[in-house]
Amino acid sequence: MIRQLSDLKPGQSGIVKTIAGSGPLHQRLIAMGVTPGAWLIVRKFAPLGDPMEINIRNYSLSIRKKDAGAISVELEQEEPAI
Amino acid sequence: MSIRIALAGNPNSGKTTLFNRLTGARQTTGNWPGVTVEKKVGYIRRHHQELMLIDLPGIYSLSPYSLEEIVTRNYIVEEKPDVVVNIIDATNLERNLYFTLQLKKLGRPMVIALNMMDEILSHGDQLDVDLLAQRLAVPVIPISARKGEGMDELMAAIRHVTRLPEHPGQGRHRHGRRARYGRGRGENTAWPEALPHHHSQPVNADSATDRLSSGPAVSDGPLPDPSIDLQHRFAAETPEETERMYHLAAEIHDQVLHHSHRPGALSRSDRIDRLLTHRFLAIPLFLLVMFLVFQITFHESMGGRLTGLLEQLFDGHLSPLIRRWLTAAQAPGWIESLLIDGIISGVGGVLSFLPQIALLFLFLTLLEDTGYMARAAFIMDKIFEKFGLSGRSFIPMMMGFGCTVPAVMATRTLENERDRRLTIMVIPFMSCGARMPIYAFFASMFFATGKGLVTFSMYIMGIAVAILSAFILSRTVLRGQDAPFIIELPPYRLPDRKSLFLHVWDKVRDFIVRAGTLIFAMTIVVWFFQSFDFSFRMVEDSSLSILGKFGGLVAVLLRPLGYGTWQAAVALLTGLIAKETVVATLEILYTPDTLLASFTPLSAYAFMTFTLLYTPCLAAVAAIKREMASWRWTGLTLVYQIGVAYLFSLLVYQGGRLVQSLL
Repeated sequence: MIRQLSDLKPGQSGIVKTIAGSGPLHQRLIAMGVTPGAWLIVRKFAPLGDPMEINIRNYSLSIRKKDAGAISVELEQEEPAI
Repeated sequence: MSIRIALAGNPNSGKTTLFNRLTGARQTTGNWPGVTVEKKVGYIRRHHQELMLIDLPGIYSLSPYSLEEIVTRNYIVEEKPDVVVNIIDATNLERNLYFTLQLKKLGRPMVIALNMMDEILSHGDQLDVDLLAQRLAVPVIPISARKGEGMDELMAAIRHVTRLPEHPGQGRHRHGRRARYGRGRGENTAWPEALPHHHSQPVNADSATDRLSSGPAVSDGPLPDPSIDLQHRFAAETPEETERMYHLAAEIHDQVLHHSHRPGALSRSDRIDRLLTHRFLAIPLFLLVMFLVFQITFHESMGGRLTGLLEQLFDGHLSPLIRRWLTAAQAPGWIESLLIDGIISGVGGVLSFLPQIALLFLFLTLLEDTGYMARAAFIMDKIFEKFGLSGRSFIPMMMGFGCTVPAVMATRTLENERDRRLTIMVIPFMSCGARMPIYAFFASMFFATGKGLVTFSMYIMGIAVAILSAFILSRTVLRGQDAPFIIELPPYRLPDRKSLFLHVWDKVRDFIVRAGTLIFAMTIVVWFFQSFDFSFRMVEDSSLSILGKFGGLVAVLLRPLGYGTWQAAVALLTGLIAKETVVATLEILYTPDTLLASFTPLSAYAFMTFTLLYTPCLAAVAAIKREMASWRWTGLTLVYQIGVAYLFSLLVYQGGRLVQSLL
């Protein structure tokens, strides 16, 4: 199932499929390792609901939901609660 | 000519800690993207050979999107350092390796300092250093910059790669630290097979590229033709190339590092974040942290007490002592006046605030170095976005509480021109350390009760004006898209004590040097012009002095603000050069009695408001000009700040009078 990253819930994980656009956002994302094929997991949302925190390539990245909307993710089977 | 070593790496990789370790130089270390925005140089003197260490900005990628990336790329390509030491955070290997692969393409001889190896060991992870060296065709030295482990080995590798003569018995063996992280050959250094230890052929672009593209272990497609001009090739890195390099980085990572945990498992930092970025607790905790910082720095029983003790020392002990000496030596009256009324009250008045400034910087650095500052940006971003700012502006703005100059320079990490201009324009409203003495001075004179509250209200007003300004500016002169907010949340780490100490000492030293030079000179100038009239006769009544006459002219403008005295005007004018001189000048021009006669609590508060908001010191203006790279924008910023200061000071005074008349 393919979803926008911004629609994922904390604890959900998946593989990056595509990154829309080609502007600075796109460049910045791939420079930080958000490239097609990379695995990521959503950690949490900030207290005011935005931005979100993801873990990708073994580090934590914070990204605004509106920017995360450009990233489509192939959703994995949901992880059992830890 | 000395050997030039360029130090490059990702933010939060421990680069600054390593720099301090190797050179002992003064440097800041931080946990948010790009604290080392300036090119810092340190010197290492070993075995009668001088090595020059250049600290390049901490960056994630060489793809030139930000100023820092361009600075780094240009330095390596154009200045051709003898060796590039690439520091890698072993706990964040994959992303760090992407940068390493980019660096390799620039074709300079390289050594990799594999940092945080102590954490890898304590996590129970396994990292094959030899294999990593082979895959990269670069010597890899496992180190722990914080513990100072692997330093001798690193230096030996640098000497080796730059073909400096090695000094037998002086290197890694004699210092005798046991090989903790090394494997194979019983040494701490892993040499690629292509570069045996005895074979001093430096890595060059072609051999590196060749190995990466044609080595049997590499399944990835060939990298671009090495014959194409490096700079051109570099600027043109396509998304596909980036993806390919990340793919390669991931492959190497999977080969050499075996985690003891499964991917995505909660780390220690994640567990700390459960509390610190908790849905309901995060904001109260953030406010509590800020409150504690200010409370400890300013409260009577803590930071304020230290300042009080120093004041006591200057006014209560030093002044009478010098007065006795001068009387005994029968010195002329003007010398006593210059020393006591000029220098001691001026410079001493400023120096008294040293402990509080040191405390403030200590806390700001702690917040940065532990990794909390990035969380604060994460928590507050939503609010910032509403006011047209990026969450990334948060950290430069917080630094503004310390000093405007580094805060303005830190905006270099913002990629977007509009965001940078906007942030630079509002940073000076964040009350800097040098303005603190002004509030403390007035608060203790006019607000005996609620001293802390009055001082605190200045900081709050500064923040409010900064946010309001951002809101207005981003909808008028600086319209446009805000840059994407994509920041790393680095792992929480205990700050390195040496780096912490060096940073705070650096700021304290700056402050002392300023007090001893600029402020010292200004106090003499002020004393002179307030002691003599236009025919250079010493005057009894200083309103007849040169300064009195001149200040009187400016004072007319300040009358609507409630402090239209020549002394206040002169204090504000000297404050254009450095904010500390405002207090120094007031100390010279007023006695406590005349001060109380010239100000009411309301006009004192209006004066404080003006000093909070008006143009920052000369050094800050120079920094703004440098970063804006435009006289027009710099001019606009300064005019805006004076305008805002006048307006708010007027509102405070006239509004306050209105309220008083109604009561």
